[in-house]
Amino acid sequence: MKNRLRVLRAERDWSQADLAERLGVSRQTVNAIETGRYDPSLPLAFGIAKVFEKLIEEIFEPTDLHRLEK
Amino acid sequence: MSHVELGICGPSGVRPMKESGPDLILMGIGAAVFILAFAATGRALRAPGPSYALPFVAGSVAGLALAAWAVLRMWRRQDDAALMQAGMLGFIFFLGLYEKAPKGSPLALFAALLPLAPAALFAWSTIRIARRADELQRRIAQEALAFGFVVSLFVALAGAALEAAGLPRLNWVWMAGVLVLACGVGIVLANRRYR
Repeated sequence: MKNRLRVLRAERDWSQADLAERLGVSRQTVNAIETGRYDPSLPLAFGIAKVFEKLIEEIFEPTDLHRLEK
Repeated sequence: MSHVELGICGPSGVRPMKESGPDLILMGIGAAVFILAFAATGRALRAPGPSYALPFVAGSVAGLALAAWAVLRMWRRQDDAALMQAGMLGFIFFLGLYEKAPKGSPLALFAALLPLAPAALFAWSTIRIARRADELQRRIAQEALAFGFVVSLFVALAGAALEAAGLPRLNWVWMAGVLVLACGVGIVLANRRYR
């Protein structure tokens, strides 16, 4: 799953640690999500959307959507 | 700063806080003083003639008190990672200490049960870390446990097969060590995956 976390974070001039503190997760988790190594759970994805005041689909974009459309 | 309450990841992570570094050293010094004084107490009690064990008993109590004080400081700080390390160190330090005391004496019984205290501290802090871990840390722990289980299973099967083929009987106590070691390797591997 692709995401715009790094861009949104940079726009607000937040470090990974700042975002991690806002979300109540470790910095490692923020980094893993940003690099696409880890897809967050639905509650955490909602948390991220709330922090950035956006909709989930404005932040996350599924990469294998065509599989579902078949 | 606005927070989203997800109920995950507490104040302490998997690394001890900086403030707990000196306390861990103090705990180690206290434990070392206790072990040396305890061994001297055992020797004094075993020696024939008048006993001169009292100063060593006092040294043992002082060492244990210093270690306990350092642990208490980490406890108040709620530094679970430091408490886990202190528990692990204490368990290793105190294991086998009963051999230093006269066999069957109350001192030997005390020393035999002593490693249970740091083991309980280790177990309690590990559970608290697991409860406070966020979802990625939980996944890493899950993968590490799975790795540790599979590796231990293979080692146990290999050991049993070799034993059946005629190799001398093995001491299966070391299987606990294999499991801990394999889980440790699993944590390193899983952390690398999500780095």
